Amino acid sequence: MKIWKDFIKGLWEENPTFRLLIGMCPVLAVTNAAINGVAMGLATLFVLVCSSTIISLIKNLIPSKVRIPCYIVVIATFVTIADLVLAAYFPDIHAVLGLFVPLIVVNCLILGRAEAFASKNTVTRSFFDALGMGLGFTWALTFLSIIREVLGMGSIFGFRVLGEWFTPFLIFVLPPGAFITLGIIVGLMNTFTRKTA
Amino acid sequence: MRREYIRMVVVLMIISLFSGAVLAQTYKVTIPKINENALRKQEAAIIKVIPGAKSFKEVSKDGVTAFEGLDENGNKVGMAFIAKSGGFGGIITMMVGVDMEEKKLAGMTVLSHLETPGLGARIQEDWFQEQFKGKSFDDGFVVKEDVDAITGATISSTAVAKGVKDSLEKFLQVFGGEY
Amino acid sequence: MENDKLVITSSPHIFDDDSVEKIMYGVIIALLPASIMGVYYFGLHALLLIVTCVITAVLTEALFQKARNYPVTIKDGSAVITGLLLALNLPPGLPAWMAVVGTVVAIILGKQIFGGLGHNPFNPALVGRAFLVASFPVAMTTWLSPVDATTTATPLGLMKLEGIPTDYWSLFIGKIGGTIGETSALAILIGAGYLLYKGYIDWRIPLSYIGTVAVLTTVFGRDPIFHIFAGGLMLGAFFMATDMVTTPITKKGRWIFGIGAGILVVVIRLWGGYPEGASYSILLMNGITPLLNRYTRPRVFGEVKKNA
Repeated sequence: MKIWKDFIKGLWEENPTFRLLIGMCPVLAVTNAAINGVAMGLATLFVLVCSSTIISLIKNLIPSKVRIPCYIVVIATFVTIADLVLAAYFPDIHAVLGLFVPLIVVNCLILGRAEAFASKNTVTRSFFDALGMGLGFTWALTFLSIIREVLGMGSIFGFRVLGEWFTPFLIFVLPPGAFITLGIIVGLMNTFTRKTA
Repeated sequence: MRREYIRMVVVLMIISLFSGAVLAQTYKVTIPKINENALRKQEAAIIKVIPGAKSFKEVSKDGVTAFEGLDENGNKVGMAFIAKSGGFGGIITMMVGVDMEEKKLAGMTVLSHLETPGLGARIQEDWFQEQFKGKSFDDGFVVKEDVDAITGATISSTAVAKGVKDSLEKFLQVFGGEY
Repeated sequence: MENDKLVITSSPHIFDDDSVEKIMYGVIIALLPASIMGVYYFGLHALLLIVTCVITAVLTEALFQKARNYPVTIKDGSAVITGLLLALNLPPGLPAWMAVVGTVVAIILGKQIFGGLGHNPFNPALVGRAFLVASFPVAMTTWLSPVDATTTATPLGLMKLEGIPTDYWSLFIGKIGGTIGETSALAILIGAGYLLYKGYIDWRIPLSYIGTVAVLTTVFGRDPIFHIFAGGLMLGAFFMATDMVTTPITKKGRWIFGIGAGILVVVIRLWGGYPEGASYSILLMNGITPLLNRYTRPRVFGEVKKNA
């Protein structure tokens, strides 16, 4: 089943964060608490699905010479919508994610899917490709941020899960912790899949 | 060739027009809510630092902005102002409430900061903010003497104390003579 | 030679009887005075930390290499040095489990993940220390007084935050707050003298490193003698900035390394957020060591300069 394959590949085999290593800026910057990871993942998922669908829909109208500006306008529109909606209805999350919401516009994951997939495939396939990639991105960010929050704060989604005996490793909520955690996960994933393959 | 150029311009323009229209609509729907959020956040901070205040009024004099805290009947119960200071990781913004009659601080709360989580970020904890309450205008605000520092975050603690002291002086220069 | 056949080998052709093991054990001997002084001033807990770090380092290296099916190389002494150096860079009152965490990070993230001794870009002990400082900033900056074991500040901390100087004699013999191995300049110099005499370390990096700090602190109107003897500069200059793996191999590169690290220490000490910057200065210069090696490569004998 083609559509199923388009969808499922973003979750593991071509996971944007752990496999393709694209869109690293938000991955490293906002995953210091689980709630931020989820929020950033969902915001990106929203922008990715909407822009991929629209771009696939209008791909035949766009002259190839101005395709990149056209894609960027479409992407920027949805990013701004996401930014405004977050600011209006989730002000706390918006305050924490701050500049990284507008920066979704330069997330190469989104432009990458537009250029590599949506501009060449049908609307349905583009939708499921974007959905898979977006969900892959979301679970990756959530996973990373949960590990970092547990080790760095002793909590998940703000709830203390480790007892008073646990001294948090502050480094995991600081930038170096992002690199260390990501590096170890990618390394383990490579070792793991190489053995089973 | 000419036709292609025209097509490029027209397509890009149409897409931009659509984008503009969609964004204008989204903006119209969300902006009242966004403004309300900002206002409510400010109001909550002012109510927190001025005991008895239920609402506030912005006052401006000689280029300095301050807030008057008002109770249910619209009587003035205290004043508040925003203090800023350079911390360890960036600018720390605070709301400081003052009791003009007793000549002391009525409260302080940190509005935003970029300090290290778990360390400098502890300036947001209540015990740290509470200690500013009741401090006299003449207090030295010296960390480790007048103000308890957060363990391991002397720079952040000092920044808060210094920010409160400096802004208080500026505030009193302008508004101090009113009482 | 068993027979008269011509033997062909690649360079180097000159051998002496030094080996990795011999140099490593030389360094361990050179670190003993500083370790003994640390234990003398800070008591049994300091000894416990040193022993814990060394044992953890050796065990971690052995287990990691076993798990990855690599030959186990714990006998070369490099893991012992990493553990010992890390311990000497820890505050004497640090809980032992934190020392274990730091050592595991030093060995795995600092060394083994890159392929073991000779492949690590950064000094493993300093990687472990940097990890601990970022993870446990309070515990890693709680210093004990060698006089009465109460908490105190380091001379650099006293200078930076309160402007209080410390007298030279206390700085020299080490009767000050600080990490286990950094306080006594005397003990470090004894060990360093042994290494220089044996030819195991090159004098260029310590000289240019300490020299730069002395010159710059004088230029900016601070006390150069205080800045040389206070903090981790001495320990870093002789034992960590001279690490063969993570510092340049060319003479010119070593001069640049020392001067660069010296500038970084002064910048961090005088204008940075931390009172001391020796460990970060060495780590940062470790990072550009491959570039230094590349751009300071000596010309091959007889090579003609381009455009000459």
